[in-house]
Formats: sequence, C-alpha cells, structure tokens
Amino acid sequence: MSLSLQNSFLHELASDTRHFLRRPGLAALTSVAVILILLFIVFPVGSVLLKSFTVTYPTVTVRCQSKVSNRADFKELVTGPILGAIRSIEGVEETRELTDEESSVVVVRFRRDWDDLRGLNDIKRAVQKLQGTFALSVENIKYELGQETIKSLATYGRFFSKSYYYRALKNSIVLAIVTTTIVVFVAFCFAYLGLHGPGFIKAPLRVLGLLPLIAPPFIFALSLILIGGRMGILTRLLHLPFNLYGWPGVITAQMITFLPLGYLLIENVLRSIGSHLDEAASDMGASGVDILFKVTIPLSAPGILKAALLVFIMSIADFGNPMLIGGGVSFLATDAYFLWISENNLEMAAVFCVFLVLPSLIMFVIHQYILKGREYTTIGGKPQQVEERRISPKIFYPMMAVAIPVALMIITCFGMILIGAFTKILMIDNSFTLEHFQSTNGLRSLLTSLKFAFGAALIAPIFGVTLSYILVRKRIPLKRVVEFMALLGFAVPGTVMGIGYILFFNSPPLKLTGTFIILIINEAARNLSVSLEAGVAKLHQIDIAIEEAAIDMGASSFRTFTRVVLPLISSALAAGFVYTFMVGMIAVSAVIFLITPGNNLASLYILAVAEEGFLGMACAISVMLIAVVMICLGGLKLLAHYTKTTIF
Amino acid sequence: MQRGKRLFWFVLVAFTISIFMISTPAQADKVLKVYTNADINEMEKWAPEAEKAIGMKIQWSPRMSSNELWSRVQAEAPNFNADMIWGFLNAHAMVGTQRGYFLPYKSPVWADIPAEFKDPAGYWHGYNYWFAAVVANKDLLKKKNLPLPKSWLDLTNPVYQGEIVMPNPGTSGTAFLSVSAIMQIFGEKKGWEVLEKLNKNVAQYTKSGSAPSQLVAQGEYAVGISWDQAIYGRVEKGFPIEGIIPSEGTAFDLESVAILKGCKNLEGAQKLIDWLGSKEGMTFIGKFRSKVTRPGILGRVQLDPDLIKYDALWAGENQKRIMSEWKNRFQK
Repeated sequence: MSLSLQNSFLHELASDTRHFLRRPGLAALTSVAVILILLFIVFPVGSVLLKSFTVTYPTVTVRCQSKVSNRADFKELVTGPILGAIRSIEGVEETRELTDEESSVVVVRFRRDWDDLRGLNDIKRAVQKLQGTFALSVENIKYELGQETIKSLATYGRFFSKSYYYRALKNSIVLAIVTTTIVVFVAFCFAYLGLHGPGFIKAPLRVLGLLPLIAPPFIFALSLILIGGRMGILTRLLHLPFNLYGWPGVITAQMITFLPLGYLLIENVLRSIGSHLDEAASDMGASGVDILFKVTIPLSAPGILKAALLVFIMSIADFGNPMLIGGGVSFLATDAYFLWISENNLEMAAVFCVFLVLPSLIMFVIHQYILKGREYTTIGGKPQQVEERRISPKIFYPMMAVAIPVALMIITCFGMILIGAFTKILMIDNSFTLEHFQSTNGLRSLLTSLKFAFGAALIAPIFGVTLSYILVRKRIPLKRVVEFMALLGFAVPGTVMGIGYILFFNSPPLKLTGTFIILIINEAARNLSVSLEAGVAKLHQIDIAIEEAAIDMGASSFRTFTRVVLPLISSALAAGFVYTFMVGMIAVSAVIFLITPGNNLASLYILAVAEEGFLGMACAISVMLIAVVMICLGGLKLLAHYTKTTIF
Repeated sequence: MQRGKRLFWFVLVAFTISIFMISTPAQADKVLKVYTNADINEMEKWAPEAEKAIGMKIQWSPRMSSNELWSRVQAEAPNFNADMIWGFLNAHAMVGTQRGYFLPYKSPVWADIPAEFKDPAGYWHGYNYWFAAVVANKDLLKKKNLPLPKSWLDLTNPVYQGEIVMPNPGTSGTAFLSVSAIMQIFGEKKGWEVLEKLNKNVAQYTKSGSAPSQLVAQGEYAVGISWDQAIYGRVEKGFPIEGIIPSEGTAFDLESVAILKGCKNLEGAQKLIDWLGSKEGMTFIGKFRSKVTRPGILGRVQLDPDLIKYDALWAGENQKRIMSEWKNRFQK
C-alpha cells in the first residue's frame, strides 16, 4: 500500500517536472522565486539552526620561528617547555601543536567564557619567563587571537542545566497559554456583543476591538507603565503596594495588543453562522444560554481554535511588550536578544530561537494544514443578515462585565499616550509642554520608517501575488514545499528572522547587513505570506475559464497574466500593500537586530527612549507615528476611492 | 489594466520613490557612520557640532549601552557596519587593539596630550573620562525615612531593600565599571560578598547606565547606581536628587575613539579624531563631561573626585569571567 502510494507520488513528481521543464519561461520565473525564498527566508532560518549546534571558543596562537635546524632539538628546547608552561595557565582547555620545518605553532584553546586578552597576556608572561632558557634557539615569537568553532550539543546541554535559560522557555509558553485564553474569551465577548448586542453598544465595541491595530505593538505596555508602573497614576493615587511590571503588565499589554486579531477572526466566524439555526433552536424552546453553549460555540469552535493558534504564535513571538514592562522576567524572544547584545552569545541565542520556533511552527502547521477548510459551513453562499433578536440578560450582563472594563482600558491606554506626550513628567511636573515633540532624531526616524514601510509594502505584494499565481494556476513540482517555505517567514518569530539575517548576511559575498535594503527585504520576507494568501484567495474566486479564453484567442501566457489576471487580482495586491505598510510602520522584533547608523526606525526609537526612562518623548513619538499611519491610510483610502480600486 | 487601477499604482510607486529621494543623502556628500555609547540627548548636540567641524554628515547608531555596542562590534567582526567607534570603554579598546579590529592613526593634534590617554601605536584615543557614582532622591529618602548612602558598603544595608535601581553589568558600561571598582577596592572574594548583599537590595536592573538617574529623578526609586553626568545634568535641571561619590572611591573610564578596519571614510574618521583632540573639540566636550584629557581645559567637574587607581586592563582581561560568575550567582 505504502509502496504504491510512494510510487504514485514519485510518478506525479516526475510528470510535474517534465511538464515544468518544457516551459522555459515558467521554469525561469519559478526558479527565481524559489531562489529568493531560499536566500531570504529558508537559509537564514537554517543558519540559526546550524548555529545552535556549535560552540565557539577563544584561542591564542603562538608562533615561534626556529634558529636550530634540528626539529627534535627545537621541540625539546622550545615547544616542550612552552606547552608545559601554557598547560598550567588558568582557563586553558586544550593545547595543540603544529610544528613544521621552520616554526613551531601552538594553538591554545580557552574556556568558552574566558577572556582572550587575559589568556594572551598570561601566555605572554609565561613565555617571557622561559625566554632566558631558549633565547638562543628562537627568533621571534608572534601571538594571534582567534576563535574556534566546534560542532557540539553543549549549548543545548547548558540550556537545560541552567534555570535562567530554560525558565525563559517555560515562561514564554505559560504566557502564550494565558494570553491566548484571555484574548479568545474577551474577543468572543466583543464579537458576540458587537453582532447580537443592543444597538448602542455595537458600534463602539467594533471600533475598539480593531483600534489597537494601528498602534505600535508596545504602546500599551508604555501606557500601562504610566498608569500602573512604580510612579504610575493609579499606583500613586491609590498608594498601591504593587505595580504592573512583570507578569500582570505583560499579560494585560498582550491582551490589548492581540485583541484585534482574535476579534477579527471570531467575528468572522460568528457572522457566518446563520441566524436561522439560532431561530430554530429558539423556536424549539431552547434558552439563550442553551443556544450559546449548544449551538453557537460548537459551530464556531474551529474558527475559535484558529484564532487561538494565531494569538498563541503572536504572543510567543512578541518582543516589545515583554521588553518594556517585563520587569526582569525572562521570555524567549527578548532574552535571545539580550544574549546577543550583552554577551555576544549567538549560540545560546540560536538555541533560544530553536525553542521559539518549535511551538510556533507546530501551531502554524496545525493551523495551516490540519484546520484548513475545517469550518462548518451552515449555508452556502453569502453571509446572512443577522436579524435583531433580544439577547438574553443571562448572557448580556456577564459579557458586558468582561467587555466594558477592557473597552475602557483601551480608551485609557490611548488617552494616556496623548496625555503623556504633552506633559512634562507625568505626576512630577504636570505642566503642558511641546518639548517632547522636538526630537530631531525622532523625526528623522519617522521618515526612515516611512521609507522602510513603503519599500517593503511594494516588494511583498508584487512577489507574493506573483507567487500565488504560479502556485494556484501552474503545474510545478513540489508545490506544497515551495508554499511552506514562503509561509515560513511569517510562522517564524521575528527574533529568529533577525538573528538568522545577522548570521547569514554578515560576510562576503552576501554582506548585506549595514545596508538599508536588508531591512526592507527582511520585512517583506516576513510579511510575504499575507500577500500570498490574499492572492491565493482571490485567484480561487476568479474562474479559470477567463484565462483559458484569453489563451484560446492567442494571448501568450505573459500577456494573459498582465492583461487579464493582474487587473482582476489588483485588490489582492492592494490589500497586501496596505497590510505590509501598516505592520512595517510598527515593526520591532526582527529589525532591531539589523539597524545600523543612519537606519534607525521610529518604532525602535520609541523603544529606546522609553527604556531610558524618557516616557514623555516615547509617547510623543508614538503619537506622531500613529498620526502618520492614519494619514497614510486615509490617503490610501482616498486614492483608492478616487481611482475606484478596492483595497480592503 | 483599467485606467483607475493604473493610476492607483502609479501614485503609490511615485510616492514611494519620492520618499526615498527626499531622505537619501546625495552620493556626493560623504557620510561618517559611527557607533557610540553616548546618550541620546548628548548625541543630539554632539553630532551637529562635529558635523560642522569635519564638514561631513554624521550618522550615529541607535542608542547602545557600552557592552551592547561591543557585542555588536564583535558579532560583525571583521566586516564592520560603521566607520568608527566614537565613545566606548577603554577596556574594550584594549581588547579590540589586540584582536586587530582597528586602524592606527597618529594624530598630530594629539601630540601634546599625555601618553596615558592614548594608545602608543595610535589604535585608540581617549578624549574624556567619566566615573561611576551613586544617585539618591532626597525627597523620597526623607519620605521613606532612609539615610543618605555615603559608600558602596552603605548600599548593602538591608534598609534599602527594593529601593535601589542599578544598570545590568551585562549590557551597561557603568554597571561593569561599578562591579570592577568594587572588585578592585575590596578584592575579589570580599567583592562578591558585597555584590551578593547589594543584589538583595536591587529592585530593577536597567539596560543602560543612564536610566537609573532618570528613574531616581522621576522618583521611581530612592537610590541608583549611575554615572557622573547623567546625575549632575539632572541635578542642574532641578530634580531633587544628589550625586554621591562613594567614600571608598570610585572607578573612572577613559572614553575612547577608534577607527574600525574597513572604514569607508578614513578622511572623515581622522578629522573627527583631530577635532576631538583639538582645543575647540575638547572645550565643547568639556561642557558635557566631567573631565577631558587635554591639559588646561576644564570639564564640568572642578573638584577632584575620589578616584581609585582603576585598572582598565584588568577589566579587559576579566570581563567575560566576571560576567559568567555574575550570571551564575544572581540570575538563578
């Protein structure tokens, strides 16, 4: 059975390949696409994996040139004593001797966490002491500092043996589970009330459920510090003995940050459940509570699960919130960054990345391949108009009790940012000021952010939608593999893509770090999947007969694409553009590894000044950033309206 | 494509290109890219002044703490993404010189600056020095009925439990300087005991050495460990804080500059070193920093702070070892 299955798979692969190779245009285009995907997504992620299996040691190389011709004598007189002296130096792990005709070379490997300068100076001192004894036979001694990288599982060993490493894994997973549970719960209440609640509550909840989308992802951490930090308004006014730094802060901030994602997905599912089922149940005497638990929730379960998986991935990958309000609690995404910046320990950072990728990848595979197409469709065709039906108070009041505090919190958070931006130092000197807005570097970084976001927003949709066309309409071998590789950039947390890029693009011939274009490419690669999925969805809606007609009438494949397909999927391109632009303006996690002098982004500048304690300036730049995003989105909407293009 | 859609994409592409045009400097102006550990508010003033002096545009790194800067430089070696480092720890300058990260430059301007402030072969130049100090919020101390700390040992007093904010020696040069100072003052064995007790009092470790000054000034914590000008600058701004030089003495660091190998703007880098060593440059920096290295030019601190005979070489030789011990002890 399995053999025949394998055979049929191979057969199909072979026939796909033959078909593919007979079309040089398609083959060339696909190859370029695959090479780009490999280069900018797969290899960087792969190099993180490889890095995690290595350990780098500092080494000192000692070269002595011989005056004596006899090698045996030289060894006895010079190399032997040197080796003897070196072996007793603190921190030495291994010595190796490479002696040739004229010189003797001793490579000394030190402990992983030993300082090479100290090793060098200790060796110099030891050799100097010996110098009297072999002065005659040595011409000159040279010392070189170096590194030696060895394949090893030792970094994983250290990860599991030190609690300050594996604790980060535990914390991240606990955080993701807690955040996901809360977000799904709250988002369900928002979505349910937004659809079935009384009129006065619907619109505000819809707006508030989506509002956090336009804010930089760590802005809520920032305002929570203003509210409930050690000097926060609430902490001070109520003389609270505790503050929000640590777990409570991170969870609250994440809940608000990821609410829109949960809300959008769950609302979509609830909307697609036809009201006729509710009506039927109601007619048969079921109470509102019964309908909720026995009809609505079971029917929307796959959609809710999908939302939960995505929130889980986002929470584990989140960088800004734990960074600002984490208060020293370790989480994988931020600690990987700290391992890099505080001790240049890229190996351990890579191990962190591996544990960061694993849960995300598992969730992603479940989401992408197992849950796909698992929604229960209650009717075919268009979503139905939901009829006004009185919501049972037994549902209404508990849900309001959840939704109202969260809604108020969202409003307060935005308000705090605005107040913080115009106040000298909140709670110390509450006078009005505009000084926080006068940061030349902040303004410059805003311009860089615009450049960055627009650049990425042009590349990602063009590439993504072209790829979707190849994947949906053309016969190419290993289609699923190509698709998976392209989606990888989204599934993998930003920290991993950042570290992958600094590992893979730091040396010639692929020396791209330090350039501005690498930032744009990184952002485009990470958001490729959204444009790809938008393209795929759109293409499924367009009947292939249209393209076949064009080809039958003599149009070339290229002409068909540009003249027939492109105008039809223009809305997918535009959606990809808008999405990539929005997330580009607020990007933090991968780009923080890649910024160099002159390339600072506004979102990272906010993070930096907030860390320095300049909360007012952080608020001011956030306000400007949000304003710029809104102006741009407004402009896009206007432009789309004027040119009659659909963008949302 | 329909005309509308074509117009839509045309406008978008044109807009993107025009943003690139505005903000990308023309090829003709030479740009000097520098890594720095200086504070954001310092660099916002230093860079324009230096730009005037060298006649080129300066692009500086995002704010980095000293060890962060050094990690980045090590990770990039030998393909650095900046032309030079303007401001980093002297201990790192020594390590970098040995590893061959830098290009030598013997600036004529620096000829009459004492030899102790520069590398004999010209790999690094030290233009000012700063020291670690303790900062305390007087109002908060009074409110909480706490005494003003006077020494490193005072900071280990359990009354300060949860009231001290200190930078993380993993990232911050200030913190590593303080830890090295404690090691050099008390000896390594006693030094660890002091740090052990201090750690019990510390409520938060920050990334940079300036952040504790800001947090203490804003009244988030009563006591902090920071560096001289981060404290005095805020005293002058009127915050209710006081800078304290611990009675056992404190360590100072020689702020250094060096040209990175592969520098794409050697002329600019050398001009900047010349300017920093010149009377004008030193006088300018002296308005921001406590002491500058050109004799006869005053910094902001006129008195002689109680500085120990700090051994930067020791710091360069032992940083990794001390930090891995630190992690094992305090990051359980």
